Amino acid sequence: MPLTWDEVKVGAETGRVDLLVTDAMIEEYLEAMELDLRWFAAPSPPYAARIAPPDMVPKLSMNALFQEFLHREIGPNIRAKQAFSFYAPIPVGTRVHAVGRLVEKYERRGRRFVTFEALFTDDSGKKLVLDRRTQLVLGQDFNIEKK
Amino acid sequence: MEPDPVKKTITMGKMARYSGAGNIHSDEETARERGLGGALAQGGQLVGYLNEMMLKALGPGFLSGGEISVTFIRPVRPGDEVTARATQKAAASENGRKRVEFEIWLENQNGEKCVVGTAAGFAPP
Repeated sequence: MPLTWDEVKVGAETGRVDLLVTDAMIEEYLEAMELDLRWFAAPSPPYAARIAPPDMVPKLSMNALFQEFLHREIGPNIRAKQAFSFYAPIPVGTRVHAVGRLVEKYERRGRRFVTFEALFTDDSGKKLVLDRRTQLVLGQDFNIEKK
Repeated sequence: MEPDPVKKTITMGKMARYSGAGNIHSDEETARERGLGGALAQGGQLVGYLNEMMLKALGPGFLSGGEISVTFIRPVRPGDEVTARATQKAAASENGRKRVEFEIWLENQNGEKCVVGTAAGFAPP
């Protein structure tokens, strides 16, 4: 049973992820995005190891961190805004951790929006990437032509 | 500096590959039922094209210290041809490195902006 709008709590934890970055994940991402840059294909200066595209880990983690919560507790939605801060490259073999949180909710022009954040770190606690995204909640009467 | 544009042709196959099957990004009927008028590319896929443009321009200076912030203002659908573009709006010295800020956008084949925002990072030495 979805939450009512008043029951949607700012600060709520929305999901957790622990992810080991592998070569196979990178291969799949590069093909899907038609992305061809040397740092992602093989170890390449200035990096000693192959690294992941910077938005790959957030993409692979979004269901566990945000979307399962959204579909279960709030309902259908589409992305309205997206921001990333990239702190450090993520080499293959890195185990990445993040906790998703609902950090803001607001209504504008009759539409409802929820904003989530997740800070990805490695085993040592080193910051890797901050993902902040705002989702537009699709109500029963939503029509994109009137957006 | 002006990053080189990145061009992509959007297909249902690419959308499904990025977003998986049976959702608003890969199934026309599911998307219509939600009031979306048909399948539309996932926001993350479109941000990825803007990230690609910034990575090609800044390289490691975007991977460590890069920032991007965008708003989705128009849907991108199968058959669209999109181009990521940027124009520099500021530059400043930061700890001996040159930090540059850009206005960025993704436009469709009609020149209509679909995603707009800003990006920043460190210029190559």
